[in-house]
Amino acid sequence: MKELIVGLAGNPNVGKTTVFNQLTGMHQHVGNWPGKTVERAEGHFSHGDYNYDVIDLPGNYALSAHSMEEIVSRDFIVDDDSDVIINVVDAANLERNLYLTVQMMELGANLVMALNMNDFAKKKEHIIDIKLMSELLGFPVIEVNAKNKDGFEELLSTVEKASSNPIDTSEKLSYGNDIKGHLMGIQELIEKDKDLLDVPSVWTAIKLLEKDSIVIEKVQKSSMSSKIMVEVDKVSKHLYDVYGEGPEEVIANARYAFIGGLIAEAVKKPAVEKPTTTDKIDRFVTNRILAPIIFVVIIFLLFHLTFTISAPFCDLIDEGFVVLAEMVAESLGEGVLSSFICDGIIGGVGGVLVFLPQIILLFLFLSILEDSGYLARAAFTLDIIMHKVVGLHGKAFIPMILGFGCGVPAVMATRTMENESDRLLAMMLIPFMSCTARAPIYAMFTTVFFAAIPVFALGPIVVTQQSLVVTGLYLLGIVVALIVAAILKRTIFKGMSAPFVMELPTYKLPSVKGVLLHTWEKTKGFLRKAGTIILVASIIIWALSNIPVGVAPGAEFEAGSAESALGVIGSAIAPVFAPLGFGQWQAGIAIITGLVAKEVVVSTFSSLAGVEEDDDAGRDEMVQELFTPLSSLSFMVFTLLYIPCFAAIGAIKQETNSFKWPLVMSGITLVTAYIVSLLVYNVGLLAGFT
Amino acid sequence: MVIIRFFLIIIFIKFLDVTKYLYICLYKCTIIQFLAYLKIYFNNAGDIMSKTLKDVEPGETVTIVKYHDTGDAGLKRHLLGMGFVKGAELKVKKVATLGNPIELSVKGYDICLRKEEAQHIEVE
Repeated sequence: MKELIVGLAGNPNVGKTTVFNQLTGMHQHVGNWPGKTVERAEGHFSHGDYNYDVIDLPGNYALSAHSMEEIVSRDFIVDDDSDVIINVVDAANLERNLYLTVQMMELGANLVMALNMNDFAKKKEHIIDIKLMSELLGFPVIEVNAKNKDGFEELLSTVEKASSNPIDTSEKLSYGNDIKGHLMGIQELIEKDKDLLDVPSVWTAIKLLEKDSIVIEKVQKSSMSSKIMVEVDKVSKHLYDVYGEGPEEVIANARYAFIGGLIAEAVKKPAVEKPTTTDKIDRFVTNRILAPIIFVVIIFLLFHLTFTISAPFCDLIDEGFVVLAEMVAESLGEGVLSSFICDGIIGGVGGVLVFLPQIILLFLFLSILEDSGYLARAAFTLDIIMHKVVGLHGKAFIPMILGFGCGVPAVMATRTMENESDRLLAMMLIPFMSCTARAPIYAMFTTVFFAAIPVFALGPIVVTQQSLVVTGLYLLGIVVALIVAAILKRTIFKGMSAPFVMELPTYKLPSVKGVLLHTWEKTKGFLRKAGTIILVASIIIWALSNIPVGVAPGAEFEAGSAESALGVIGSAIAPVFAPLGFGQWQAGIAIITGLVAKEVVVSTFSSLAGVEEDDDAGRDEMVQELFTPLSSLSFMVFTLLYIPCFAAIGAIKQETNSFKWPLVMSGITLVTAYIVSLLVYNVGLLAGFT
Repeated sequence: MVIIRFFLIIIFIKFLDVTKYLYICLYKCTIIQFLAYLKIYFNNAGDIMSKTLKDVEPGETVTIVKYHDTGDAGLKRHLLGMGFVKGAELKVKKVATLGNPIELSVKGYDICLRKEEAQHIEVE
């Protein structure tokens, strides 16, 4: 068996990841490039005599030194270990796709092109002469269809051939005689230093002219450095004199000229491009007036469908856990171990897993929207609001929406934002998006204190006082996030935000496999939180609530009462919340347990009331005594805004690689929650509510 | 004789100083300032008076002439890679709901850009 290491390179949105998934299936592992925050997807599969190790390189438009993704890709190509680079190219978008191809050719990469999305090219009536293209490029071009694996056999056998006969693809590049001459001048000097020849000299020469910082640093260590840099300077000035633009532009032009020539020969296009299906759909979706309406409708459907379809499944799981707890209690009898397993573990973790159907559905619908190409249009429509109001750009709304499901995958989704301070700002705001875990808190308080009296009706949708309060809370979260963003943008995150340049990909029917894989990736984050942090935290909370403090041995002790360790802590911090209307120690405990997971708040009240998990009446009775409608409102506002659960904090720590930002976020959320809750309670009192 | 020449030279140098001083005074005078302003204006008039990508109406097709120096260098580099090179054809397709950003097609694909960033690209 021969071992092959292959990299998949290409623009974003070309189906590169589809190819990767088709080749590796579930035998893939997603991690990070060592020492960097760029995602690295690696997989394995076998074909004939060969064992493949495939790396899905990040989607790039270029190989400059300006983003981690591009640096990671070019390092991989230069690295001795890789055998072949498969360049996945969108046949309907050849010109821009070839820009990356050309840069890989400058690097002398051992390339095989997988030409994908030929159906779209055919619809546009583009006829591509593959043989001629392959001849002009100097390396094999294979037509594939990533969705159904057409052409994969030929692709793999070509790759295997290429691995045993590697070629230096820089030989076929031609940027015109003038530029060629100048490059030769620089290349001659470069070739005098053997240390600089791990990459083709033409790459080094071009990168020096483009003022690539990494290559400049490398050349400066060379013995020829001063001679080379002088020549580079000379050529730059000459180019400026002749072309009236700097070398970066001249080279970009030269690349596109080469590409243009190639396309003119190898691709036949119709005289007038007819509007594509994408254009026809966009006539509505990005229409100035319809766009926001369509967006609101889609988002409404998203949440409505998620909540209604998942409800019966959530109940099923809930009952399942209750049954499980009963079974365990029966077999183990009364006692500490039984309580530990039933109340501690099953109660804690089960309370979180009940939401799995909701999470899965939300992420499923979001993955469909993303893969179809709609999310880019939504970002296009929302950009101006995200920019002027929040100071971020259109794409940032995706992590925000995910935040309504669960903060953990939302924080992970901020990886798509290139600008570091934009990412951090987004992470600070995600906790204000009311996650699914908080929903039971609202449900409990609104059923107890707010009647199901209809307030008004919108056709078939009847709005009750209860739903008004809940909707109001969700909206409050968004409003507060906007205000906090405005403040943060003027203080900690002052400075220019990233420009908004985003490609609008063609609409595609999402592939089932792709959607499922994307959904699973996002759900994994939620599951990891349940399995680890919440499990540990549930155990700690259970322990604290069962440790008596200051009770004489032998005396009566009720778990979770004011005399348990938890109760003592709760009583200690409770007075802090008196101005907010909920200064009772039970509320204090609930707030602490809410740090573990927001779902736990409701079950905390159940155990404080000394009743079973499913005894809603008993729990509600206690709640009724402890709170008033107004104080319940301010409590809900507080839980909406304050420090999110440990899992979310942990996610931020993981993404930022430091403790600083989770702490900052905790501080911001806590302070904001206290202030807003204070306002709600006191303004309410003044207005005469209770 | 040598001494007289010496003095003449010194007087001449002083005379140069005086004219330099006079010239500086005149330069500070508004007429010279105005002329200098006119000079700058006409040098950059090309930039100020020209059409930028921001001014293009939906449905119009234009070609890129050059980038203004006022733009962000990093963005320019990124845009060059995306096909926004001199002579490239851009068709502005539409504008988002509140007027910003704009959607345009370049090199056969669609991309969006904010007007604040588009205003640094001169087109015709």
